[in-house]
Amino acid sequence: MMGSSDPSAMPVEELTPHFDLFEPSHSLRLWEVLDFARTSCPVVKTDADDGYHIVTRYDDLRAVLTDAETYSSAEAGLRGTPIPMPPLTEDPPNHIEFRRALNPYLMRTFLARYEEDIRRHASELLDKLVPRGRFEFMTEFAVPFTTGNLARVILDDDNEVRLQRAIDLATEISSYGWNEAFFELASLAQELLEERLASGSERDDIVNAILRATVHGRPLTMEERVGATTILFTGGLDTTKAALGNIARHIADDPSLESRVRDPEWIKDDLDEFLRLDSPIAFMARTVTKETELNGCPLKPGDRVAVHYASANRDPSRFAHPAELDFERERNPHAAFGLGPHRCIGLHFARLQIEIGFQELYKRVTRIRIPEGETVHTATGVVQSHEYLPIEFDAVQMDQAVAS
Amino acid sequence: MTLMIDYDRCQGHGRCSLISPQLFDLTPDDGLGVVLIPEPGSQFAQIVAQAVGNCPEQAISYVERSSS
Repeated sequence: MMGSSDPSAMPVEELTPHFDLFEPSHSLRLWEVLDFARTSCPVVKTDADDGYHIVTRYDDLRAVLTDAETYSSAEAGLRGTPIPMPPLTEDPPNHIEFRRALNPYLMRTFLARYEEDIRRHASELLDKLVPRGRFEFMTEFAVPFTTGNLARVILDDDNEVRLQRAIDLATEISSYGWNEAFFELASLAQELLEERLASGSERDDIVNAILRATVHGRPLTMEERVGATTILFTGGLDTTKAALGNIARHIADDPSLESRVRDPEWIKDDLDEFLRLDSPIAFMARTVTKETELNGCPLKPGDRVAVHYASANRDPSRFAHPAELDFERERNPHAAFGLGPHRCIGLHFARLQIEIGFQELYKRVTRIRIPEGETVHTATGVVQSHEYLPIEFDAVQMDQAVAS
Repeated sequence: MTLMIDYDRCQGHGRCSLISPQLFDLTPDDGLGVVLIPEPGSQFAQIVAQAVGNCPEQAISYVERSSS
């Protein structure tokens, strides 16, 4: 009995119909299952949870993500979201109104005002960590760096105690997932929103944009405001952290990549190849609204569909030798930030943090490596992120780094 | 040859303006791509091809403008 149901030993064609995207023992065979599905049954049905289809190919992913009429985002998390989180959980026509209200505040031009804060934050963290000669990249750098930046940019709260509390809660959510910490963060966001509303002050920031936003000519409800604030905050948590860690791991594995990431031009193109190979968000979900067919697979209203970005990004019909980093690809239209109207709203903010994070790191260190005898731990589920990534390195003189 | 963005497709990923800030910018409000040099000429052929090929929404085209 045990032998035949052991996922590590099961033939791939037997495992696939029961493949559970949240099950750690299954995740060891993730790529094998996705590669098998892409060639044999690209919109593959699993009976995990209450049953869902996994969309594994790039073109099918695009078809789903650009057709909101057939594929609703109302339940955009495969296991739902704790509260409605507009714009993530919105469909047209409301969705576009939410995005229009928020987009300008997540443009690089707007975020420029926070750049020095972000840089200072990275410097302060690294100035403490680097003299130790080694540190745990995720919990000691990537998590505090991104949570601090999110708190500053999204909440921009003058109340230092509350801001610190938000950072602590975000750290907790980032480590343990949706739980009480999430609801405490939501009530903290509500407190901040109500305080700002009562003060009547007009500030040029995201909270103000959320307070001023309208859909169908009406202001947002408090529930919508809280949802929008918390999705902007938590949406940036695991994702940017994951990208930072995934890139650091690749450089540790292949020292020749250091010079690539030291080149200021790396953020224009090379960064995207890292994001393609290890997409921080592996999948999100849609709900089918009407009878339809996707690449030969019939779907009916209410069917749940997992749109697997990470699988699409390794679809060999779109990306040659997809499991390898190849910085010379002529075409790399990866779906790591999603596709269609729900593309990641925070992508410019994420890029900015990745850029500054590695700039500040490489001002201080060289030859990042995994210490001998250490094993990197990686998460299972929605986010493809290392959870434990110990690194050691050689320190470089700051002035020397600047001169080189 | 004319460089164009299809606004039914563009979602403002910004890949084009990262790859070539000379040819593309993003609007400050909705963050969609904007073509700065509509007829970039053959010296830009390689960078144009890169922008077209990397657009995740297949929103950029570089084609002979029809005269009709």
